[in-house]
This record gives sequence, structure tokens and C-alpha cells, in this order.
Amino acid sequence: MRTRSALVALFVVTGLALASDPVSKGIPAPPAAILKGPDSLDDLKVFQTHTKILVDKLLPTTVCLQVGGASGSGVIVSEDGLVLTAGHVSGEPNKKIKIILHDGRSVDGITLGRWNQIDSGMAKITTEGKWPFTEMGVSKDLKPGMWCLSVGHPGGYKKNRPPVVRVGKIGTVNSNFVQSDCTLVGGDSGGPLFDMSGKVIGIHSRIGQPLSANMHVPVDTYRETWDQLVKGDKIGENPVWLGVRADTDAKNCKIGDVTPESPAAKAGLMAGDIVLKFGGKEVGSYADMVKLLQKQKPGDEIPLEVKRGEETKEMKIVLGKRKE
Amino acid sequence: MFTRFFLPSLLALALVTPAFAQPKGKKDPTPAPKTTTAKTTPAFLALFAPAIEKASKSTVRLLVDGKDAALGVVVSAEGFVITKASEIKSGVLTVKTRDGRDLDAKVSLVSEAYDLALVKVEGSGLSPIDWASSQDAPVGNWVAIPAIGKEPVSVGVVSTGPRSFSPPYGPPRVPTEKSGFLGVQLDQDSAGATIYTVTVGSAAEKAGILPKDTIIKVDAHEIANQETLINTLLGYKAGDKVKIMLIREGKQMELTAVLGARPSELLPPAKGKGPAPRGDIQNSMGSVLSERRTGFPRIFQTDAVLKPTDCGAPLVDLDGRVLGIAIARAGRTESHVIPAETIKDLLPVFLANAKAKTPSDRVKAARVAIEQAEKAKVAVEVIAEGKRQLVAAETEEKWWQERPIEKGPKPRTVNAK
Repeated sequence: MRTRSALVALFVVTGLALASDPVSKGIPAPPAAILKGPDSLDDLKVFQTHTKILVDKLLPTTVCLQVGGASGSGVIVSEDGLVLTAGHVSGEPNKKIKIILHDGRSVDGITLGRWNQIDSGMAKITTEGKWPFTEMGVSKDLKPGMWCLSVGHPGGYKKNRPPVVRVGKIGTVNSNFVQSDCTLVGGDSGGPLFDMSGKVIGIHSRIGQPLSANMHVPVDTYRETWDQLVKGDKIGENPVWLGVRADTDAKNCKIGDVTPESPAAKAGLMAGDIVLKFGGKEVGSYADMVKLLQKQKPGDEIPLEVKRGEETKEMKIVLGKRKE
Repeated sequence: MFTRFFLPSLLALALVTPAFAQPKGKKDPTPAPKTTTAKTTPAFLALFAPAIEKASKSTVRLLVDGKDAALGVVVSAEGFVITKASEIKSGVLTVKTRDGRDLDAKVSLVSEAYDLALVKVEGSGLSPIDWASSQDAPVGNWVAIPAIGKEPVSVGVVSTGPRSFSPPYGPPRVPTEKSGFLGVQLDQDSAGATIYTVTVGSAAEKAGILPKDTIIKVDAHEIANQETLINTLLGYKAGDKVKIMLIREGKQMELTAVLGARPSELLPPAKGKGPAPRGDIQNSMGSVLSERRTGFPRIFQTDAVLKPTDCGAPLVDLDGRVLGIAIARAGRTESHVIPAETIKDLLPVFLANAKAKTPSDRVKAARVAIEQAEKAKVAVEVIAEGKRQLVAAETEEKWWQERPIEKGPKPRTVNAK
């Protein structure tokens, strides 16, 4: 009896989830003219026919966030109105904000969690309704040279101007950022970078001088920290303290510097050690370890496996609390 | 301990924008570094060669004192070319065609609002362009900007459809010590020109303006938003008396204010001094912007990166249809285009005026052009442009009538307010 009712409940929940599809479901796979080309004027025509489908479906998912006196962008990723944005746009969690939809309608919203280090942030539309939303793609599979579509509100929301569309290519991709040559400027922050199948692959974050230096938060980081963002956590502002520094661009987690008297120093960790496992989980890069660390609390005891020269060592570390 | 190591510090310019209206600053004089993007590789530009071939035959290069100044579009078989006015302000004007001819040229008319100049080129065999409509290309469609070569100078996509702006049009007004000053702070959370605070002792306080009032009209000027209010007030001088229509608690009322003088600390820093607003710094990153890049009555946007000296060129789609005239490199993410349908409506007004031989003919021509424009139900901004041309012609006619025997230089017929 119990089993059956559980099944029914599950069915009902699934039924609800199917009530409305993400807009990306209605977008056909990108044609070869986009995946391999374009190599001719005809390819360009095929390209733009596909782009029009993307624009029509995706513009309604792009929003403007008005947080205090500042204006940024965002993208709706769930029917009930969860919005991905940049951490420096959403700012402090649980603050009331205004969200302007693509057609200029204004609805109420609230800021949720953020992760300052990576610049991810989340917000939610609190006005009752079902909102057009798109799916999140996978940023780690992106390759340099892939075409992408960028949408946002450059210069902040402007009356009579829907979200602004740009087309470009992916450049560098790593676990900290995705770079593209879709130009961005103030006000775009938090807006979506889409792949050519209409899935969000990045969130606009910052720029460098050249037109090719436009940096987006990889969408994978939102998935990895989803529960914390939804809960309204300030990720990384956890006072948990290890006491090491490392090169964030390195391919492994090689410790660059150990702070004297820190938990890391007390556990015997040394500069040059390569961390292989943190709390029993494999560590590929320093960023990986930071993500694992952020899930812990001060006082937690964590087993570490490190490589020192040819030797593999195990140690236990009691996490400390960072001073304010 | 971890935080500082994370963001690549070079690229850490955050992209949030302050919502309040900022004074428009001057462009950053430092040259931008060269960069290649997907859309600027020679191989990619070459794909567009067949699309621009026809339009480039009606495109000319304008030179001032022998240097590239702008591009232009041939609009009539008599040799009239339309181009970006502010790029050809002074110097000896010549024109280079796709078939390699160098021709003399002279400005015959300027529209300050649209920043367009009608130029008469001395030479035959110039073929006018065929205008399409900006509506032919939806957002996301590829577009290209031809010059006088085989390949386009830039390509991109349509970023937004066309939109109109509220007056005043023309170059941004910069506050000076003579500018009129109302003495209010506007509410940044309001879409309209809603008062946040009133400065003690200011013109606004003396006129009885209160916080939460929303200004909807200054004299005859409709005030749609904060930017319009600021720009409109900058058209007045200290001591000017203005009628201010506002909404207070749902009721409309009119007050009269005598504008005060702008406090010196609120004047913009002298040229080259003081920091530029952050929005302008970011917008200047990576490309050089047009000096005149705002105040157009109607535009649409493309992400094609344009040199200021390539403005005035036609913008075509993959089928070679001419969608408009590239009028400004306006920011890091945007180049602005005057839609073809607007140009089509403006041309009869411009050409009638330019072809008239005497000031009186010009007045007559302007009146006929306005009448025809009204009959054809063209956009209000275009009719307003016709009226500005008429006022300029009337001013010129009056000048000559008052000085029947004088042979001095003609008065300025452009920039009529």
C-alpha cells in the first residue's frame, strides 16, 4: 500500500514537471552550416534561419534585474522563475528586486545565493506565474571556435529596446570562465551566453580591453552549487579556513604556499605537495578542492591524500575558521 | 585566503551598470589594440562579397583633405550622396568611387538631428542605391557593410529592431556655467522624470516642486523620461522662465520656474580632465567610437564593429538588400543604423531643398515637401525634420530680404534649432 502511494505521488510530480517544456525543446539541432561552417553565402543563410529560431525562442527567457540603483541581466531556467545571473548583480541574498521581462513588463523578484569567487548568482521571480525558460547546457564540453549567441541589456534596461543579440565564437574554456568574442558591456552582467541549440552555457561576467575578451561564468558551476544558490547561501564566504594558496590555472592541485600556523601547516601540508584526494574525493585542480572545501564547516576533520615527490602521503586536517 | 587567487585580475572589470543617467563624456583618446574576432577574419569577410557587390557600386569613399573621413551612399542619378555629417565638418571634400575615380564634392545640406549630410558630387555615371526596409532582416540575420572594395569592411548580425527616441535630437547638450538649473534629484527607481529630492533654495523649490512630482512637460516639450528632462533643461539658460507641467498625487498641474545657475561643482570637468563615466570607459574598450553617437530620432543596432570613418555606408543583408545607413560606432557592443524606410522618407525633403536654386525656392520646396510627407503619412520625426529644414530656409530668405544689396557670405542654413 505504502509503495503504491509513493508511486502515485511520483507520477503526479512528473506529470507537473512535464506540464511545460523549456523553450530549448522546440529548437532543432544546429545545422552543419553552423557546426562545421559557414563556408559560403548559402551556409550563412542556413545559419541565420537557425539563428532566428533561437532569437524568437530565447529572447523571452532573458530578463533585466534592477537591484537597488543598479541594472544587470539574467536568464530564466525554470518554469517557476529561477533566474541565473552574475554574483555581482544579485549581490546580497534575500533582497527584494524588480525584474523586467523581455517585453518591458515588470515583475517582483528576490535575490538568492551567490558565489563571489566565480561570480555566479541567482534570483527568483516571486510574482505568481509560469515563465518561459530554457535549459542549462554543459560548459565543460565547449570547444574553442564553436558559435554562440549572447543576449543581455548592455547599458542597462532601455525603454522600447528588447534584449540585444550578438553572435560570436567561444575562445578559452576552463573551470573558472568561458571566454567568447560576443562583445559585452556594463548592464549585460548576468545575461546568458547560449550555445546554438539554445541552452545556457555561460553567464556574462566581465571584460578585458580587446573586443575578444568577454568572460562568462561557466554554467556547470551553477549546477554544482545549485542547492546552495537556491537556498540563498553566500558560497565561499564560508569562514572555513585551510591556509593554502595555489595557481588556479594549473592542471593539478599543486600547493604554492602554506600559511604558517594555519590548519594546513599544522596537518603537515607543504608547498609543492599535489593534493590527490580531499575527504576521499578525487581532486583534479585547485578549483575542485575549493569547491569541496566550501561544503565543509570549521572544525571538520578531513582526510587528505597528497603526492610529495614520488611519495603518496595521507594526512588529516582539522579545518579552521578564517578571521573576518 | 582563497578568494584573491581566483579571478584573473586582468579581466576583472565587472559589468553592472549604474541606473542613473550620467553626463555623456568624451571618448577615450587612447588607440584601441588590434584584435581579431570570428567576424573580422579575411576569410569570413570574403563570404559576404557576393552580397555587397551591388550596393558597393553605389557606395563612395569621402575624403577630407585627402584623408579617409566617411563612406557615403549615392541617392540620385544627379550625383547626390548621403553621408555622416559630423565626420566631414571642415576641409576640402573629395570622393573616390568603386571604379577608381576621384571627384570633387560639396556639402549642400545638413540634418543635425540625423547627423546626415547631402553631398553633391561633380561627375556622371553614379548609380543610386535601391533601398529596401529594415523590416526585411529579423534580429539575428547577417549583415555586411560595403566600402568601395570587393569585401565588406565589417559584418555582424542585426542586434535589435528599429526604435524611435524622444526629442531633443542632435549632439548631446553639455552643461556650461550659463545653463539653466532646476535643482532637483530624480528618482532612479522611476521610469519617468519623478522628483526624489528638491535642493534648498533652488529654482525648483521656489516654483513649488515637491518630491514625488513627475514632470511630464517643460514648455511645449513632452518629457517621457529622465534623460529627456535633463537634455531639455540643458537647452535653457539661467534666468529663463519655463512652464512645468507635472503630476502630483494623480492630478495634473502647471508651475512656473525661473531657472537658476548651475553650481560650478556640478559642471563637467574641462576637456581631458577628470575621470570619464564608467559606462563610457567600458564602451570605449576595444574600439574607437564615433564622436557623435547619440541623439538620432530612429535607429536599429548591429554588432558589426565599425570604424568611425566607415560610417555613412549602406548596411546590406545576405540578399544584398539595403537595410539602412550605418550612422555611428556607438559602443563596445553596438553600431547604430538609420533604417532604410526612414531614409526613403527623408530623401524627398532633402533633395527638394538641395535642388532649389534661391532661398525663396527653398522655402517653397520645403513647404511642398512637408505637405507631401504629411499626405504620405510618414513618421512624425521625418515631418519634424522637414519643418526644421523649412525654418532654416525661412531664416535664410529673411536674411537676404533684409539685406537686398549685400553680397556678403550666406548665413548658416543648417543647425536651425
